Amino acid sequence: MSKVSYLVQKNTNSIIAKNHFRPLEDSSGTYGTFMVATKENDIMHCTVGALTPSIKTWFTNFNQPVLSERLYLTAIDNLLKKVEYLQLSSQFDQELITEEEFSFELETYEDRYLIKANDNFSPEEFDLVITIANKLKHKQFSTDELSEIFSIPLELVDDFVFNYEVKNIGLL
Amino acid sequence: MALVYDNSSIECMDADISSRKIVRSSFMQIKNIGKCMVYKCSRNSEATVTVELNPKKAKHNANSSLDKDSTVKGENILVAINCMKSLKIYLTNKTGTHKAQNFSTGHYTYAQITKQIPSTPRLIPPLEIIPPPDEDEEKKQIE
Repeated sequence: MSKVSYLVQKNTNSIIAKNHFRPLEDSSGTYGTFMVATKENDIMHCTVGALTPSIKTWFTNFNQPVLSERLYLTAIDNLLKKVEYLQLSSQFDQELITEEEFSFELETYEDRYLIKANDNFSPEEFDLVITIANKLKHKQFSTDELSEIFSIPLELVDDFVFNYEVKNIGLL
Repeated sequence: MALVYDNSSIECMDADISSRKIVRSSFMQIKNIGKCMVYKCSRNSEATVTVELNPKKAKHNANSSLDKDSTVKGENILVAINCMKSLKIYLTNKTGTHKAQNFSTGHYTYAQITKQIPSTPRLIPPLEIIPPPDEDEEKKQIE
């Protein structure tokens, strides 16, 4: 039978540190709550707290490495597809393959050449795209290049850029 | 009529593309159009409608110009052609100083200005790319 012990300081009704959280009995009620549970040597510790903006940011950043990895893999995959497509086009231009062979290759091995857009692309992912693009200091990306490399739907890139500028530069 | 601002676009069944530099870019899936060969034109480019769409309805951008002889002129233009064939690009003399690279698309074409000519003042507010309304959703709303 595992024991559960709460790290709740019942006297003050606040959970982790007074500096970071409002007391739970505070009736302004604008914050949610979080719970973290750990188990060690058959003892489970459960921590509950108020979900202040700083703690919420800390939790959402857990997801960032996963999103970053997904974006890097998408970019590498799309750039490789572009290279394969340009190699095929180059063969056609040098008349090493016929038009029929070119079309057949595209239709049969579509996954090797076709860049697909991600219809569920989110503003959080776009923030990461901008972070990545800003680190490549020798290159200035246009919206269609971002769309091609990171599978952002072509018709939505401008909307993402506008929302990013509003959020980070404060145009409105 | 020539369209010159960022995000101005044309949609048609056949277009004449002319630019100082035309480069094959990629093979992409674009919403409401399908699998497209994407070409990027730079250094002073233009695209002109030679055959209109039938039916005359925009597929990708509701703000696209669909009329015959409509032209988009810009520094950089993105051209998406819904076909699996590689198109031949040929050289012509355009100005006294420079030659031009040209081709005719012969298939559904979407051409959009990605960078307008630098001397052109910016449009405020800028043009938006608006997906055309879905016909099935419109019918459901009427019902």
